[in-house]
Amino acid sequence: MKKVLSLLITLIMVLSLAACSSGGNEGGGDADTREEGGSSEDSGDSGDQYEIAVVVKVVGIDYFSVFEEGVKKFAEDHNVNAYVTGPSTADAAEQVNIIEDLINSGVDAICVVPNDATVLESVLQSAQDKGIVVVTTESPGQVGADYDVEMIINDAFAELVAEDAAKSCGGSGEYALFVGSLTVPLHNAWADHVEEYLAEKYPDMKLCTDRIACGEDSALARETTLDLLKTYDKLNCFICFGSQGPIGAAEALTEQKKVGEVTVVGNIIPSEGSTYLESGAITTGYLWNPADSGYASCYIAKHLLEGNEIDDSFTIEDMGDISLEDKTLWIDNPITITADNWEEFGF
Amino acid sequence: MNNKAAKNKFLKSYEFMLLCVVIILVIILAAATGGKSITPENILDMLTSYSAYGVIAVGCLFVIISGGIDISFMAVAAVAQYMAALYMLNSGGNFVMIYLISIVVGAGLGLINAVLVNKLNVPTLIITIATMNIIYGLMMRFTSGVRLHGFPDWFSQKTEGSLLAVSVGTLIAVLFIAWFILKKTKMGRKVYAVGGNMEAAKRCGVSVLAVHLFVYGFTGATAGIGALIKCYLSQQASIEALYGDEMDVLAMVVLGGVSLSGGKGSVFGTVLGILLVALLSNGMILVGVSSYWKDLVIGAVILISFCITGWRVLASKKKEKMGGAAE
Repeated sequence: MKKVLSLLITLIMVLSLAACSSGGNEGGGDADTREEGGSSEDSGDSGDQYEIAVVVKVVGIDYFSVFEEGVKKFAEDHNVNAYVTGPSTADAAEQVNIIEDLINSGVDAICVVPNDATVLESVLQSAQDKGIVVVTTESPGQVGADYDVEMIINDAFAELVAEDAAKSCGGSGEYALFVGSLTVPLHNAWADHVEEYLAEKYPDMKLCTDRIACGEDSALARETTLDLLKTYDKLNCFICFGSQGPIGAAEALTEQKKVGEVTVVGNIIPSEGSTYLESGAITTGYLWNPADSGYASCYIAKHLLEGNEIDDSFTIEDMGDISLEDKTLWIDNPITITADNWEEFGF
Repeated sequence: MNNKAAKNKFLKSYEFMLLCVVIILVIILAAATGGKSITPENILDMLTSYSAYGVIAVGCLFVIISGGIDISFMAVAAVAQYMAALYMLNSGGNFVMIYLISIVVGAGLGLINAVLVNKLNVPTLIITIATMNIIYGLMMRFTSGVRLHGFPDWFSQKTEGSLLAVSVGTLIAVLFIAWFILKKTKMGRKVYAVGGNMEAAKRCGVSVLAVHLFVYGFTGATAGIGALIKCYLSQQASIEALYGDEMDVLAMVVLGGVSLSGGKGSVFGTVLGILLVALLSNGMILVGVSSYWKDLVIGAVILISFCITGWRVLASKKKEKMGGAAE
């Protein structure tokens, strides 16, 4: 009996593992995108239309649905066959499988939002070797990409957040800084610049204590906010990098009935922050629009496919200033999320 | 006489030393913060914030006493939290139902661990690392890591009373139940027996399977409850918020004086362990320790206090032995 039972359990485990991996393959070859890819190959061969495949981190979540809208809009505006595909879980290995399939099917360009920059290096390089244009986003300095495009310029983004925070709290008092962790390069670059900017422009605003690593955990951010409010009497502003920081801070303020007395600004996903934006617990949120990321990636891919160079004069219509740094394009195109506009973004 | 002997024994126990460490820490923190740390408001805030991991720590205590270790509890907690959150979003629900769902889902996954541990005869660490990855992997696959939010009003409109009841109230209830099971029931004694010497327990007619089912089921249930508290506090269900904090919870249990080889440990010790961790992290911000120094300071305080504790316990044991020999 015992033997049978243990055998059964092992079988179940093995089967569930097998189910996972076979599921993975299905995800890799995403049925409908394959078809689309197939049909477009014909048109690609006839030379009318470029085929641009966009591989996102994971399909089926709001963020990348909005991303896809940007890609679709580009396809319509510019008469190319651009489409989105991606794994059903945020897995770099599955992205590799998908990109290999795309290379074999002969697409003209591949745009990628990498789950892991290093894992994708070699497959992107082999795509380049086949003459395929490779554009990445959310991965500055990606090896194997012709260009990477980012939807914000770090210093400008930090200044935008700091300026709004200072205005909201009257330019005096104390502020706290949250980051995802003390080692996330992006968050810490923003935090550094916020400190510099406020010290210079608003000397009456003092940083109450060194930046705190709680921006990716809303429960920790809540607890930290409560503790900070008890410790620093003049604290009237929270600047949070990492999408969970503002949520936790806002939850703490709601509990303490201090909504409106204290400014909370930082990165949020619009739908996640919506209730706090409407109650006023979060003052404003900042991010970039994934639809713009999708649009810009395809725009650059097409620009390169047409044999054009990218230099300092390169611009994309309706998007902000662009600064070119090695092979990374930084576009000054952040979004400001408020109680009035959060619904428009759709993610 | 008997009472006096018990009192003497307590004064020499690890728990007593730990209690002294906690009291000294409270005094130092109160002095360093000008009394801010011992205001009722701060104490309540601290207990509220740590009740989630406190509840989960109580479950881990059971597994460790029984001689095993569970790494998968945070993954189990994530599933239970997600299920309860889905239920709330889809059909409204009420507190009784979400508690029930969290407990049942947690305990169910715990039972799988128990059967594997009992039948496979492989170190529990390996089994629960495997189940952790399987559970977490499946969760990631089915949810794509999407966070759930926007719960119904009865859950999202917190009052001071509901906040206390859900967090500290639940923690006290779970602590009481755990104490009662370990001290007053047969099952509690069997848990110690299996942890102390499994072979001996077996020969005495203890069903090891029943004990395993009980402890892993209990751990799963507490993981589910803890996850629910965390969800209530942060108003979000997210798999990544729990995953990765396993060490924090295990630290509470181990600091509480449990023996990693099983057979030893108490609910009172775990309470002190929870308090110690809570006091330290809460104190860091109140005292104004820079976050760059935080981990270093916490580590140093733990190390110093346990050097003293260990030395004291050792010294008193030596004395006891010598005293016994003289008699």
